[in-house]
Amino acid sequence: MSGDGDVVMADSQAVAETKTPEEIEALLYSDLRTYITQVERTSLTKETRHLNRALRYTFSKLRRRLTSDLLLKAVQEFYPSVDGRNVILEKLGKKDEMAVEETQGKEITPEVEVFLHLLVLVHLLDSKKNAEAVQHAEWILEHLMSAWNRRTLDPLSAKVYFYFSRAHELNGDFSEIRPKLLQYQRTATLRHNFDGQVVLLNLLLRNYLHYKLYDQAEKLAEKTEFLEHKAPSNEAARYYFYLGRINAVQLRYSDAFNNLQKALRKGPRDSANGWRSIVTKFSIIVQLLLGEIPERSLFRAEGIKHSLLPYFQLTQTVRSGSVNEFHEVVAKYSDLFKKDNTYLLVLRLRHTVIKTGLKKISAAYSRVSFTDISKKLNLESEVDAEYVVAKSIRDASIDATIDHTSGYIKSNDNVDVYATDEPEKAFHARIGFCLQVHNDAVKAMRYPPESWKQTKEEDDTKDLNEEDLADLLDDEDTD
Amino acid sequence: MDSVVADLEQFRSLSEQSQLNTDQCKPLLTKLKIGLTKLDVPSPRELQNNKGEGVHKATFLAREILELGTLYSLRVGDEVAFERFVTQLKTFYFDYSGLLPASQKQDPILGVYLLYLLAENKIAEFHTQLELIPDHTNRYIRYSIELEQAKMEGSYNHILEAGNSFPVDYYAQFTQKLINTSRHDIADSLQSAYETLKLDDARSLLMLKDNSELEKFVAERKWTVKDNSLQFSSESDKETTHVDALRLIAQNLAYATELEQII
Repeated sequence: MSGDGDVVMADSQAVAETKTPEEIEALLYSDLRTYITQVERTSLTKETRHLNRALRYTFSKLRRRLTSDLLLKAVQEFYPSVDGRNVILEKLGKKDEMAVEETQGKEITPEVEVFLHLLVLVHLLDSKKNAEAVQHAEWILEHLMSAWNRRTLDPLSAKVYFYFSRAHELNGDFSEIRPKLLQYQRTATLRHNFDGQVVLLNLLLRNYLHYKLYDQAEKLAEKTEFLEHKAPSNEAARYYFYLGRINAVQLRYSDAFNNLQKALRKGPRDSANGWRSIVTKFSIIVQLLLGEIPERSLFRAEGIKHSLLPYFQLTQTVRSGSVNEFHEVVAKYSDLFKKDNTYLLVLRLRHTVIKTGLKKISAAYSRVSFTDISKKLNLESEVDAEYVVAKSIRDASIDATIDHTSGYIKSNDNVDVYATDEPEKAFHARIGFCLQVHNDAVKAMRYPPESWKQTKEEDDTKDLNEEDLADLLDDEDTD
Repeated sequence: MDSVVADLEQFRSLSEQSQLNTDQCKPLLTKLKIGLTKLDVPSPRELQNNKGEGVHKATFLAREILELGTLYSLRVGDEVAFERFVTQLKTFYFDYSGLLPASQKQDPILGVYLLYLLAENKIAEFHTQLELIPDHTNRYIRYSIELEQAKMEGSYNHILEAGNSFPVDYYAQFTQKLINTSRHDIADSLQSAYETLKLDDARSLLMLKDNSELEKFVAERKWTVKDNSLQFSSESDKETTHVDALRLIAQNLAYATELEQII
């Protein structure tokens, strides 16, 4: 079945340009039919992999090209006349043209019903009819999801929850669905609906972060368990991103950096420019707050180059250590930073600029007077400079001593790095990472699939025959 | 509800006097708190839907009571009560925003709360709260933000100057506390940055008023004084020769177990 589906897709894509619109539509419709039949198989065989496959293909290939006509045809073919059908037809804005008797005898399985409703919901969202999408989503959740408690509906439920939340977000009443989301999460956890659980946790975190309720988001993340082994990698990526954002606001920069890097790794590599762009932006700022300068190659990644330009300029000012330039760049791009929700984090960078400036000065001079420092860093006075330097020494960002009476700072001689235990720590971190990767790979191994076992059995029987032969030969020898 | 209103007015007039009569105020405040629980304040959603006079008045009254309670506990110096009141007030400011007429005291109270967090060195909470506050250009809030930046950078003389000019008088106690906290920070920096420091210079750097306070401070910190100057022993020499044996042992054992699993 899947083989046929693939072949059909290849055909339709290859000859799309030369076909007329009706033929393209017919092809699309036949694809849709294939997937719906797959969904039906799920309800027969109780195996969710058909459903997963159908969902994956529909959302990646068909979603953008769904039209209300296509959906109408699908409904007319698969949906007998029950309430749900009328709801769809209303939403699509079409009348029931086909004769009712044709579909009377058929029954519709819950999976197919939810699948069709889900497609209609996605279509409404894509055509920007947000208010109707909200209504439809609520209808689905009320009537369909509460009626059945089947595990085969889990992947569909995850998608429904996601689009329900999205519809509300686009409609502007995001905060009101919080109690409902919490309730759905409780239900999903009780029923061991892993797909739904993971998606709902991410939706709740997104909701809290949207309204800047970092406290509550942190508590939720702390108290709930994120099922990493059951979660699809996209959801895991989202989860780590939200965690990283919470950590960054609460000044836990190293945790934030780890989480953001994980999010980047788990997400798609080449597509999803919006996602990569925002995660990279946060990652850059957290790196700057940690005191490291991000690599230049980070800013040249394909597809997100343009959006990272303000952050590139920001990094340059931090590197140069000039507070005036820093303020200029911040003022220039303040609207953009506010839109990205990074504005307050950027403001925290002010003291990083000063620190980097101090580091450069201390590395360049063996002895500097405070008047010179205050001039270079544009600080207000020498007393200011003295205090700032003293604090930086305490924070171990520069290695120096202050001579107060003469009014200058004296850098210490550079200690040979290999004589300290720095290399050992760096090695330990890398070894730890390699071991972690190894353990993850071992845990991710699966038993070989059926076909492989069959060939193995054949090999075994072949061995047996050889054994028999060897026995016979032995017997002959002993005779 | 009317009795609560009457009590509120009485409390307001009492608490705004320059000479606080705590014997009278305290029981009145307790009475008000009990009245608050009986007020039956609706949730924001209900308030939005229900346009009736009664519910709006109840919410407004509740907020008034909490605000007066906050200011009173500030004057008396009761920090625990202050924090409790502000936490309750926060829901009124943020969740009910737009549904009630804006309060004059909102920005000063939020500003002083931020200052309190800063003085207690709870920087993470400071930033979390700061995210929730929409308007940062307000002078009460800006005062606390600037102090936080100064503290982060380490320009402590800013903090001292700020201690001389604050927007409202009840900021004073926290500014004082902040100066004390900064003093400890400065002392830490002095320890690591200087080898020797004359006592006079130390006194000016630590922003202390006279030598007696300096002596007290030195005794607290257990610094050694040698012919009129402080000697800071360099601890760094000791550290480099000290090998963290336990940590290394633990690491190597971990490597051994992992490798054995592989092979």
